[in-house]
Amino acid sequence: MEKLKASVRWEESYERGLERCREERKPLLLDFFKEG
Amino acid sequence: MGAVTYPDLFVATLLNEYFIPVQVNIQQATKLAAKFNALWTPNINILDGGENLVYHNEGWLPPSEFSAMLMVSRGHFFLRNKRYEDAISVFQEVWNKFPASSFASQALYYLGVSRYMSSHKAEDLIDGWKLLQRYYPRSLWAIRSSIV
Repeated sequence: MEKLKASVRWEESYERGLERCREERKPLLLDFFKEG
Repeated sequence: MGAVTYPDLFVATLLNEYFIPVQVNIQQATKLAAKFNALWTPNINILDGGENLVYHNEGWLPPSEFSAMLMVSRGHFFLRNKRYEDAISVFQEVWNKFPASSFASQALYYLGVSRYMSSHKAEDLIDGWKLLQRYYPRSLWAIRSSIV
């Protein structure tokens, strides 16, 4: 049986993420990734 | 993380519902990476609105462990923002849902701390930590709690 998948709705701007963090009173998850 | 962990339904749901997920390329966002001393990836930083780092994790985790880690980090977010009842609820949920996870012992440790911070009663801390010592006696968190 295939596993159910979903998509994370990523913010690409840290500044916008921080604004939303304050507005929505949720923690900001900041993920640094490397390509390849 | 992109191949296995982030596409997991439970992980994605947790991230979308309870966090503001931001993803940046460490090679491009060099100033931001320096600000958070990011050296190795994957590199997860949980922040509050004051840009205070409330939790950090480095290295890959499979979906079940990553889910437990996310919930523990959420508990820390509440704890450090003095939302003790929310912290208690989340740490309790980690133990209920992920008792076999490597993060379960940390959740029990901070469940005790959160209860104590809420009630200021020493027995809330001690009772919580006794539970930790009973269920995860060889864990580092049990060792840290062995002062009681």
